Amino acid sequence: MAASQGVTGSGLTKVNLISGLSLIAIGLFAIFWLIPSYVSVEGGMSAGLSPAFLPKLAAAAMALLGLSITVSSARRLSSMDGGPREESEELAFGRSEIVNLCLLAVVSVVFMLLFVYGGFVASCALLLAFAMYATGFRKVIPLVAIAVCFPVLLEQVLWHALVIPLPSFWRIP
Amino acid sequence: MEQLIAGFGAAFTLTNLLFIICGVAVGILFGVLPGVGSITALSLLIPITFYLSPVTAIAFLIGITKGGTSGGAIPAILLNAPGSSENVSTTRDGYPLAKKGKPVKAMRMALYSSVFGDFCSDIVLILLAAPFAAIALNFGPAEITAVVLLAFTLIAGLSGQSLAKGLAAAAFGLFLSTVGLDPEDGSPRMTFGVVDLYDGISLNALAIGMLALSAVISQMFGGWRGSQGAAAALPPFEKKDQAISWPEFRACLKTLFRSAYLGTFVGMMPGLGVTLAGFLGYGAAKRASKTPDEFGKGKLEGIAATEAANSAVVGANLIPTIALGIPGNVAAALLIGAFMIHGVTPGPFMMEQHGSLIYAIFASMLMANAVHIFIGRFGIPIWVAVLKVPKSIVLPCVTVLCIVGVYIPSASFFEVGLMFVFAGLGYYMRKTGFSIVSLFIGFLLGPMLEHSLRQTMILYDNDIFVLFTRPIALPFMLLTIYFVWRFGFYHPRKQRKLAAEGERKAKRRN
Repeated sequence: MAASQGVTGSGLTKVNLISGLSLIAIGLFAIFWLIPSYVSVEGGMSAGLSPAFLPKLAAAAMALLGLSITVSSARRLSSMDGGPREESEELAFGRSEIVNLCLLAVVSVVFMLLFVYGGFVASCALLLAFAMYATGFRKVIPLVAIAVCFPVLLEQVLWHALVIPLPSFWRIP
Repeated sequence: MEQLIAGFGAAFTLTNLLFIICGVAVGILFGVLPGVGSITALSLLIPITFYLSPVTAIAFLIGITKGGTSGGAIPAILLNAPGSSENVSTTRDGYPLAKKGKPVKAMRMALYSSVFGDFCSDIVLILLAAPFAAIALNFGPAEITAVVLLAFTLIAGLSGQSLAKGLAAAAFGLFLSTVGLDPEDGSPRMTFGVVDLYDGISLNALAIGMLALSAVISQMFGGWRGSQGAAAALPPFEKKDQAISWPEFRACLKTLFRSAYLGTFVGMMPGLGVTLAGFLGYGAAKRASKTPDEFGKGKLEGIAATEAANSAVVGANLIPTIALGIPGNVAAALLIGAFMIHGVTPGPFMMEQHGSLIYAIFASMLMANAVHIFIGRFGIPIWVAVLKVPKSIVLPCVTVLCIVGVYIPSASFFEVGLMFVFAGLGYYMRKTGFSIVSLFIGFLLGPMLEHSLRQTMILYDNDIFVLFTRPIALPFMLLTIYFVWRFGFYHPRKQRKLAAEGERKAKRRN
């Protein structure tokens, strides 16, 4: 899960190119389908701006700025000999980052299912145990103790101090 | 002055004082943990403030920002690993001084300088907020529109890697802010029939997901990098060497004032950021010093310069926030969110409508400075102990706090899910140089821009060029155009030239 090593300036320029193209796609998708389909203009004001104006303006700005990023990245890629590296070493988006995002998506979905159907304590205990193990914590007893005690403590404090109920397995129908 | 005294009357309650103490302590705690920082604490704890009075809530949050800045100096001094980017310059002299056997002295100097910078900045805020707000009262919708456009450009240009990326992020934030019921006529916009979206995308889900959780998962994925937590410990030291004498402090006074002035100026300008203030303060102190060679070798003045400058940003940041409703940085943006939660809309009318609240907040800020000294000074052993907790425990626990932070105010599973989506987006943006701050501020200022733009169009018969003909709006628009040219064309071209020259020189040398 380590950050990708050795992602070069050209790698990031390619990522910028893809980001630019994605922005164009999102902008056009919003202007031509999303906003016309999901923004009601019938009840709009007779004077001033319609409810679709600002979303369209923002989407158009995204598309135009995406075009600008795409063009500059393409120019940079075509003349890879020169040009400063605009990004620092810390900025790196490669295969491992894509894997990380996929992992995040899977963990999020599993957690949400557990959270909805199993309640706060069970889902968070499992999440804590998994995250602690994945980040290198290998002492089993403290791991289990923290994973169980922290959510239980949090739930009890919130309930008894602030009367805020968190979803519990026995409270969910 | 009378209003300030009245403010003290309102703010000086036991509850308020306790929350200020908690805020400062939590701020230092989160600041101490490298990579977690006060922004994470701020976004996590805003939901808790739903249950507090506005004065207590804002005082608590301001305590967090104050504590966070000085807390970040502790790992910078002890580990050579700053808690956040704003404390990077502190490592230059803090770490060498700790290695010389004076770690507590370095931490004390950082704390005193931080509080000094904070205090000066708060005084400037108290003196300038009311006059600035009075000037801003003359601003109509056209002027507000021009100011928001300038803020977008400044923040996008300064906080990101490139203006185009910054503006694209701001535009995306603006787009997200339009989701929900139209504020004028109530027609749904991109709600897809989801009731949770009728009020718009939750500020909490977006702030916690993008600012806090994305930072945490970014670190989790990045690995612990040599388990700094386990290595953290005070180097051996003699107790008698740790005190800061009056002559030593007096020798730093000039530097402290200079840094406080620089930090305050930086804080007043939207988008310039705390990190820049730290670097500017350090650079100015080194240039002005008679012994610049001693900088970087454990000089007290170096620590004082950085810490006073970065802390001075905190108070000054609230000047544009209170006068115009424009946040200076992400902490101020989060504070705007907190103000809104408590029914206070930041902007020119804030002083007029909630004057007593504002002065109570000012009084709380001064109280927080006094609290900061005591908590910071006597908590040093605790902060050092916190540094020893492994990140593999801290980060998962912060993740759970993020979940709770989003769930508490809304009791909505949808918003928790949304937070994970924004965390993924935040992770992507962090890794590709798209500015999260720009997106967040675009999202926050979106409704304000829409409202003022609508009013402008109605008032001036759909004539957008009124932005260039109104006498107050014109300078802001000209500044916007200037900054677009500077960040979008001039600066990149200059960078390219410098890089080409550097390469040419390197080739000649070879």
